[in-house]
Amino acid sequence: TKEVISVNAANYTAWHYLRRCIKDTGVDVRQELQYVEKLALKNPKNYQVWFHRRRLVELLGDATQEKEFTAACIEADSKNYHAWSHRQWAVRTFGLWDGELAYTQDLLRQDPRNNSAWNHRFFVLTASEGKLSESDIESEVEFAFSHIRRAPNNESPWNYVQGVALRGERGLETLRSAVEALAEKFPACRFAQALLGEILSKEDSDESMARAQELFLNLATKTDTIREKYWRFCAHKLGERGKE
Amino acid sequence: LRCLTAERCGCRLYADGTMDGAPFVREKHREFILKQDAEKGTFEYEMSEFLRISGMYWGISALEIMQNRDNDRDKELIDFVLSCQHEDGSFGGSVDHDGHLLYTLSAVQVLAILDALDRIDADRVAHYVASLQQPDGSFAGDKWGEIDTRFSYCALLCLTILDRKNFIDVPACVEFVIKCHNFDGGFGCVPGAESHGGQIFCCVGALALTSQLSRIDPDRLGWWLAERQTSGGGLNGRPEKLPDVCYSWWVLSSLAMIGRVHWIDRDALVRYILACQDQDDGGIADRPGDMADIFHTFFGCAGLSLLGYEGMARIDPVLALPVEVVQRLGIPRMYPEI
Repeated sequence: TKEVISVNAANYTAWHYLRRCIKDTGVDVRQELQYVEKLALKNPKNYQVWFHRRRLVELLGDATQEKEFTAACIEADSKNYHAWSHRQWAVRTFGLWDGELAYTQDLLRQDPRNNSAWNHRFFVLTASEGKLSESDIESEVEFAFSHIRRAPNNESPWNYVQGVALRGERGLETLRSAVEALAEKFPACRFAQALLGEILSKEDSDESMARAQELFLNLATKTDTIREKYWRFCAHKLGERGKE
Repeated sequence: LRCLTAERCGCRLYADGTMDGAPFVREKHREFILKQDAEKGTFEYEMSEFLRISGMYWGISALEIMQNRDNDRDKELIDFVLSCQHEDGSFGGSVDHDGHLLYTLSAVQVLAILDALDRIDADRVAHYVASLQQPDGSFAGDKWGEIDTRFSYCALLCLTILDRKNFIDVPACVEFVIKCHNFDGGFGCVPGAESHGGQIFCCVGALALTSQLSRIDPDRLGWWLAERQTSGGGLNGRPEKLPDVCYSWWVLSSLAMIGRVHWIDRDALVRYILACQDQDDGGIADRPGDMADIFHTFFGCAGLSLLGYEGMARIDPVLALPVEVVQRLGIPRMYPEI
């Protein structure tokens, strides 16, 4: 069965057969783990390999190697969906939260455009800590902005900072002054304008709404023309609200 | 105006600055698809045996969308599909391959298109699908237990075609999907997993099939989806990743389901898909210049169909079947008029 798998790791029937063999013949599961590790590095986008690994870890009841294993896969392909999904599973199932924030911090320092790492950070923050404290929110927002300042046209930290802020009492309003400053410093940055527009559109004053409209129209006609229809929709929606 | 795709993409740039996409080589695509079957015995053919039945769905659907399919081999195709079925109602990816939800869905889709659903015992298939539902509402792909929102969609779609959604706990299925709703408005494969275009298609599809789209904010999701369009016109599946033709389906159909297809720059995406064609040997690739395959050929055609490209039959974004087939089956439209 392993010969079949080595030639064609996506043949899911072969994997079924292998699992039955393991189950029925009492094989050394730790050796099997090593076997899967080699195969995963050769076929990192294959669903069956990852699922098999998970079953073996469950059989063993021991996930101590999983961080190192997923880290190796992530080093080869930093956005591998399966590797990140597996890491999340291991962390959540075996309570391996320690060191995860530091891990994402490291990866983001190397590549701030790694959306998977940003997602994992959010996952760790919100799953292990339950409700986020105001100071947690403050430090995470600053963490995101520090990356934004270095590379403002990177979508991921912009999504992240909003997700974090929305967990706090004051919502997106906490970000207002920082985003104003970024929009001014980076006039071609569509994310800054978009977020500022959204924040302003939620304020009650006529002046804020007018500025938001202006931002949306600027996005439609200058900074983000490929999404012109979306920005005109935002401007229109605001206009309708203004009439009410 | 500059074509940001690739050098030999086939785009024609005119003196006045306007640009035409490459010609759509319909006949070459037909030959490419029909040729797949003649490749029996080649390495690639044998390697992909485990998903043969899905390959059939992609090929048949692409030909239907291009309005370029002959039905002279239908009996042979139907017989093959039926030969993949097991006692428990499931279908494997090919003959003697174990049953799996993915291939059960492909089988049902193929039989629907070929108007041969009466050849199977719908109750038996539905029982198999229902047996895969977990206590938390999620679905496993097969008896081995891999959980993924892809399977929630597959289960619902299969049962919708067979008109047997009542075999499963629909509210529980929906609640699991909702648990996968992320902070950025997208959906992942399980709760907490990264938002991904393919997973979003499955989750939004699941919500559409159960009339639960009101559970999400369409503007927020629509924006995330519109953000997938890169400067070259193509769509990616996650932030900061490369575009891929298959997202012309996963992302576009999601937008169609929430009534926001127009948030994408249509012309730019059409040019991208056309640039991904192999003008010489037919077929469509993930990216301009790469090798074509049947998977991307189908998704490229499906994307063009959703964009209203000339000569393409309409495809239902929720059911991923030609609209003509959906109407024949009597399934109501579950998305806003495109």
